[in-house]
Amino acid sequence: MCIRDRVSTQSTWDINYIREFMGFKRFVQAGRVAYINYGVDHGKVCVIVEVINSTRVLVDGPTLGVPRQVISLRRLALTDHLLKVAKGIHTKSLEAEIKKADLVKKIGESSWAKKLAAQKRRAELNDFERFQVMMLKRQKAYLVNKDVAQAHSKGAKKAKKAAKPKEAKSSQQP
Amino acid sequence: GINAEYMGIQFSQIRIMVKKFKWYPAEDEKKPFQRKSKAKKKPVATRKGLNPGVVCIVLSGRFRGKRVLFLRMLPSGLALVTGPYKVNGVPLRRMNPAYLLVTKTQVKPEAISKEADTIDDKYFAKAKEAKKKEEEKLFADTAAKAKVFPPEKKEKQGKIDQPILAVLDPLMKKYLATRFTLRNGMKPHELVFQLL
Repeated sequence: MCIRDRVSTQSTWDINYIREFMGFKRFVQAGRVAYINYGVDHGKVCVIVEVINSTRVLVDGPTLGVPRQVISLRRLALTDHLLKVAKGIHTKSLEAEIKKADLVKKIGESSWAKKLAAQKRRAELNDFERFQVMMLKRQKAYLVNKDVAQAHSKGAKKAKKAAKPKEAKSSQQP
Repeated sequence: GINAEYMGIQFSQIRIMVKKFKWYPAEDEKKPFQRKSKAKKKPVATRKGLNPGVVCIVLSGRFRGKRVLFLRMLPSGLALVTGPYKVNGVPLRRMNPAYLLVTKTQVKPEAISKEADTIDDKYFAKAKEAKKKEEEKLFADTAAKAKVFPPEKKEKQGKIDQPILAVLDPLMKKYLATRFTLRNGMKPHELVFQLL
């Protein structure tokens, strides 16, 4: 019996209802790991400790370089990671939880963190490095296009072969 | 004499005008700036990162966009650069260092031979032609003598470039041969040339 069967008995604010029917997967809740998009701690990751209202949350990041603070939800981007902590957890306990969950490592492994690192590296390239990148892109494009051309020619050959016996047949008929 | 007492004026109040020179120019002559203090002219401030062998991007002039190698600062305050000539067509040339974009890339400074130190601002002085009279100019051969680049300068170019070319790998040569341009998505204020 899936959740859809229980629709009438469910509150529309039930988290699982929302997940099923509205497609939202990441919720603002105690333990949600979020990325700070704006402000002094821009680029850092923190954990939501308490929800204050629809716009603000209490946030903390003990080993992540974020002091315990109230921050607007507009400055946060929620991630998939969720720590199992009670709301209002103290900084020390949170630090232990972060360490237990190995959060720093997990976030570093996420493709989104890797993308950020790549963006940062790209921004730091100096003139010669940019030139090297351009050369490598050209080489890659050359190899790719070579393969594509081969595939095309093979396809064209196949089409020709198929056309030839057809022609032979049609020429034989009259 | 003036009877000062008669005029009722004190003698000490009278100033007598005396002509100092026979000829005075109509307007004040313009004098070149001269330091009032005896302080000597300061040497050109060295720019951070501008060391021998550093690749620079030329920002203006005939060779704008070209990537050249910086050799040394000349006493006049200009920078001595070379292409090298065989790589990108930039000869030994003086350039205003303000129009050189210094990059982080540097060729081995050992490749910049001592020859570069022998080049001075005088090397670039224009050869003075003998003053021709008006009539001579009129009858001068219209098929003018082809301007020949002095072979000594060619030799000098070769001497300086040869050790550099020996050190450059093919990618580096291609890099120096390519002009710098801005492309789509490139924001000049965000581009990094040197992480200072």
